[in-house]
Amino acid sequence: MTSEQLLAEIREANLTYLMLAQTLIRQDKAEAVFRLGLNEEAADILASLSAAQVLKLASRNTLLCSFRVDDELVWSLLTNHNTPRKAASEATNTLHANILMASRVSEVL
Amino acid sequence: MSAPAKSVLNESKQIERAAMLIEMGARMQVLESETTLSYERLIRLYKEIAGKSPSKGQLPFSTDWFLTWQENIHSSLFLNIYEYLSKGVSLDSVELLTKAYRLYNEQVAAAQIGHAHAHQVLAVRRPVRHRAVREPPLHLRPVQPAGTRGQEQERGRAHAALNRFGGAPGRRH
Repeated sequence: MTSEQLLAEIREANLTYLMLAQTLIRQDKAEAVFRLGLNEEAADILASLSAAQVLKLASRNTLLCSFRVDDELVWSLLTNHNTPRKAASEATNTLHANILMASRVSEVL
Repeated sequence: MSAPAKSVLNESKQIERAAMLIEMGARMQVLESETTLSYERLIRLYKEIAGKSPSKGQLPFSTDWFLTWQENIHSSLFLNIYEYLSKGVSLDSVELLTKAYRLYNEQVAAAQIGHAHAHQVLAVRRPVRHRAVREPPLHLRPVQPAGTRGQEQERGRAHAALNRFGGAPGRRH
């Protein structure tokens, strides 16, 4: 993949992300805040962007969305790799990961 | 909810809210405390939506109910979502409860795909007390070895009431 192609993919991902975020926020802001991990002000700003603004924002060379899983435990729970408890079922692991993800209140403050 | 404004708009909003709660399985006590509609209207609405009379009485209240692991997992998940929303978005208490409950249900459904025991563990049954949840979320207890799971699942069939998170001691004991 050439760097030109890579940049095009980044822009495409940006656009997809922004469009999805707008749809989510316009449908139900509270749910969107939870799903996207954005605070309310950011959600308001995103929702108010026009199509042209979204396009402009998306056509940058930096990726706009960032990764939300940053600790080892959630990682291993989600990938079912190296799980601390072997007896735990997959469903329990998923729920455990969901609990930990849902406790990241700091990202919306 | 004190001194409700007498307006048609407000009333339609209240009816919508009550209908949503009934669909979630809320009992009369919840409807009475969360909406400003009269008891008679709520009964009529309940019959119209649920197709039956509301069940009577409250659910038994027991704090050690949450000490079994399955309920604990479910309540921890719900409480975390609830807190996330309450800190991140400005919502009124009913919206907060229903949105959090919907998200919780969605996550449980997603986690249990292909599992037979996708029964309901938490339900909106009891009135929620209007105050912020201050206690830290219940922490996950160790999951027991696979051998005892059948037994645990049996216990998990009982239904929980969400207001237990309110942290207030039970009124009826």
